[in-house]
Amino acid sequence: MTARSETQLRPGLWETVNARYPGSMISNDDVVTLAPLARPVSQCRLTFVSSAGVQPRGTLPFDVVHPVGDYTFRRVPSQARPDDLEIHQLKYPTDGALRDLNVIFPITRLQELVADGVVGSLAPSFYSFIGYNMDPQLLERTLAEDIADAVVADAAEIALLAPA
Amino acid sequence: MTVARDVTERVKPPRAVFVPFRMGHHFGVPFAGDLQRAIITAALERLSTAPRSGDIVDLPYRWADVRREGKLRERGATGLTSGARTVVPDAAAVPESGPSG
Amino acid sequence: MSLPYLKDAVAAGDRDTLLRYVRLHLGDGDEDVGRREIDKAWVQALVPLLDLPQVDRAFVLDTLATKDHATLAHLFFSLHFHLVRQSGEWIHDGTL
Repeated sequence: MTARSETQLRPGLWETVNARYPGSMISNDDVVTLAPLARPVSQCRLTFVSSAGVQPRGTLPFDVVHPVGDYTFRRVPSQARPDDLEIHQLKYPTDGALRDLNVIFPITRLQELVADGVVGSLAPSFYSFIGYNMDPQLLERTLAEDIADAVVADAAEIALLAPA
Repeated sequence: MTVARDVTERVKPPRAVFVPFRMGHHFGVPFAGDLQRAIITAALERLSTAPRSGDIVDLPYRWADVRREGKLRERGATGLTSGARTVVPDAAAVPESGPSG
Repeated sequence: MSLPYLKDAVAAGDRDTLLRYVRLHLGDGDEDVGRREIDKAWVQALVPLLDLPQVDRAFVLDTLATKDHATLAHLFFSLHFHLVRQSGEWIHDGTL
């Protein structure tokens, strides 16, 4: 691993969350095998997956009050404009994102990267859910698998993930 | 993309880039289009350059610098602060400042 | 606390753990804040009733009589967050 230029702003986040919500965090003992890139990014179809609770206006808001979480996801059309979208999520600072959604959900930047030829194309949908989920096994077995299936059905070749 | 390096070390994704930013601000600060873009392209670069699974790359940014440059940028460009949720095409109008730190 | 952890607490009749969890959830990870948030919600519910306004009791009674327990429980959590949002003191901004 490379030298750290600066440590994270909230050090000890892992310990803090585990002390407050024991058993709610996902950890893995092994890494998965690195999937090689079949062709240049400039020819690949990209999808974006976020736990920022971003959703198209008018869709059923994520259940942010539920004591054990919401295990559903929303499709976000990759050609949407930030004004078409809204955030339903608690527990992470949204002050930056409420002024410019690209701070956490960089949909405009990804559209520009395609227009500039850096990225081949965007999958028709991006995917969004909320990160407050108290059952990591259910999350992995249902929500993560559902999104993975949808991404495969979209024929996306590369994915950018941003856990909020 | 992660702002929580210690969490990512436990999850062990095959490719990861870390930025020492505030939670909820993985791609920087509002209206800093060039910074947002640079972070995305740095992450995408890992697709072809990562030598092994599980490495976390620390991008050379400092939150204090990013936040200060964001404020200067907004102060220097009129109209950027009005109209919440409106994305202003700022990158073309403002000189590239690049990562610092 | 993870779902299995909470279910174990229910099975063991461990109310202290469940109470702690509710306070953590409502207090954004801080038990003492959660305690205050619960009080805050009740004050928000009390104040609008002090002038004895007309209320839609039929709606309330019908809801209690016809909705299932889980929906009512969800309504309880929804009302909590609705009331604390109404109070203008919003703590769920990720800063705790």
